[in-house]
Amino acid sequence: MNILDSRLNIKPLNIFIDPQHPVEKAIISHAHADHAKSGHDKVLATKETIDIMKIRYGENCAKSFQVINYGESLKINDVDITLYPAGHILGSAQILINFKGQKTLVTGDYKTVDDKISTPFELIKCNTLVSEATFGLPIFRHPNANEEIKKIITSLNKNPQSTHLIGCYALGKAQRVINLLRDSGYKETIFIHGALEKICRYYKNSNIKLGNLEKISNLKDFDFKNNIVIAPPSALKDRWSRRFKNKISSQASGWLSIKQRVKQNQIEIPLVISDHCDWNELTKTITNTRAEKVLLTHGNEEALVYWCKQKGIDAFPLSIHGMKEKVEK
Amino acid sequence: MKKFAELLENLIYSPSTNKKIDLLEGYFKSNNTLENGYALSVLSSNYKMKFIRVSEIKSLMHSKFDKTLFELSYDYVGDLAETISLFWKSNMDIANSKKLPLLSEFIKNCENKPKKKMYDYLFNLLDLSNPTQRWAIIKILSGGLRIGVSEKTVKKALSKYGNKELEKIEKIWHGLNHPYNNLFDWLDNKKPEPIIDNFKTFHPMMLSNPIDEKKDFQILDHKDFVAEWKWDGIRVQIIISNDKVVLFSRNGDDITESFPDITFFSKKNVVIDGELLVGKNCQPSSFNDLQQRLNRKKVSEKIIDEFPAFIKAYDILFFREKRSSKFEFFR
Repeated sequence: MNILDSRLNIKPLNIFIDPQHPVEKAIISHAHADHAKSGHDKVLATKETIDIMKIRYGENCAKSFQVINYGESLKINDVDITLYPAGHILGSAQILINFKGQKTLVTGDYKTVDDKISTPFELIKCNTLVSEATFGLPIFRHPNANEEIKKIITSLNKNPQSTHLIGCYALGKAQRVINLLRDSGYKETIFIHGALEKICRYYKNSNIKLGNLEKISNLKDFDFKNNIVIAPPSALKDRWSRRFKNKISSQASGWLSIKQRVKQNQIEIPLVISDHCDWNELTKTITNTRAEKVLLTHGNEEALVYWCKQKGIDAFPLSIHGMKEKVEK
Repeated sequence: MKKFAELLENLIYSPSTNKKIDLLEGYFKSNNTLENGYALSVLSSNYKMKFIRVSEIKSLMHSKFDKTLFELSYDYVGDLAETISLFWKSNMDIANSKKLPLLSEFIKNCENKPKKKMYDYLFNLLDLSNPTQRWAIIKILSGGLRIGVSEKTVKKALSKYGNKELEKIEKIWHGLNHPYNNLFDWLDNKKPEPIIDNFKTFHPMMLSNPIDEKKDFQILDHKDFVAEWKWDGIRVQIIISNDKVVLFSRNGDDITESFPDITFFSKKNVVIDGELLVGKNCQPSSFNDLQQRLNRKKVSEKIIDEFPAFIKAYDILFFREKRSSKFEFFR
């Protein structure tokens, strides 16, 4: 790779994108834990990403922060760096590196479907594309999220005695699911696990419609029925969830289109809702960026590499140093 | 088909047996005798449905799709029906508007179609379906659902649905056949209990029950019991009628073919409960030796000579036309 190495270091500047270990200078694509680490000296990111990092890791999780807006360019030596919306979660960005007219785009995590929460994904033409490949197999085709959320509403009507427990990753997915529930007309208080509280408050302050939320630990009596509780997926299997009698477990994730996965995780209502691209979005994006060279990271790269080669596009898998296999956020 | 696919999906997602029973009961309630019978045939293992072999389905997919992408997906998913259901490109709008055949129509069609027409029929159905329906179609066609529903669960659901004792259903179960009209007619109180030929079917065995040392020992009186050797072979049921000997394993699988050396001199109708063992001159040898004889479709003379099989009888279940459990114990 020319300007980037396998650790996503912009070599002429010694600036790392989403570094896994503390570095001097880092650009952070979004605030999910596998991309944003604490302990860097200088962090360049969108305002939302920085805010959320501070909420999660503390005010001093980096020595200094520099905010950059979408579309705004930063010129360092011969290199222009611009951040564009990635449509993944609030503040998520793609990073375009323009070095003497050669454009390299690092997508970070992204989706092209508009979730009405994050700034919609913007397609950027480039020479080299570094794309995520979380759902890089043709079997992954995410259904319409508004339709998926109706499964919960239907089940609530059918099982008025039950508490519906929805496992959602605390940042991004939880707020999207709550927002989808509100859009589908659900007006009751939604109960949340403590781990979601601060992020939900931040989303609310950013004018995302989440409606009335209440933290479970504020309640003394758990004998409630016909309610929705949102918690991180790990809490669903934990003792924490034992307090709910008569519960129906649900989870929101792109992986749950596979029935065996649903069964393994003992999910009764799988919500196939993802903040990543499905196969069609990935292949469409690759085509539309007109990239001559495509590097595919964390996920199912093999099928996409094969697909690119069939289309005459140069493609390689790129295993980012220190990055584990993707679990969907 | 639509309703049945939905049932299968709900069953696989239900963690508790009680929920599964409720789902099955609900399905039986909302469908007619014919549909219920076919559903039961698919759910129970009594009727072996295998309209297309797995290898055949695979090569069909290879001819229709990019082989590399299909195989990568299959590697990832691990289940063929599921891979196809997700891989298949169809127009979801059509799937919602057009009607799929009923389950009974679908299976009847499969039973009657020549192989070549079968492929077109299958492709057309997959085009009409959503992923769950496609998954169900392929599961049914290739046999073996593996959705975590045991035969016991199905029987319990039938008992609940028809408000009949589970024991009664167990007794006639192995004498029932696809498409179970007589069973559902009875469950629906339209006709009397089906009559089963005792010398043609397997009779569910009473296997050992655990004893709770603290509670049970105080209640049990040793005078009520008789001890007998438990041999280390496999438990079998032998049905002798009209000069024919049929051997069933404890699960009701017919294993007669594997043991041609088991013959009887009696011509009377008898059902025997016993232990199948191997060893020369009817002297039991190790379980390991017995294993040499298990799961063989064809048995060579050599193996039979080396490991001859015989039976140690525990009990007579039926003698002539009579159920022996009605006789006194030491008769």
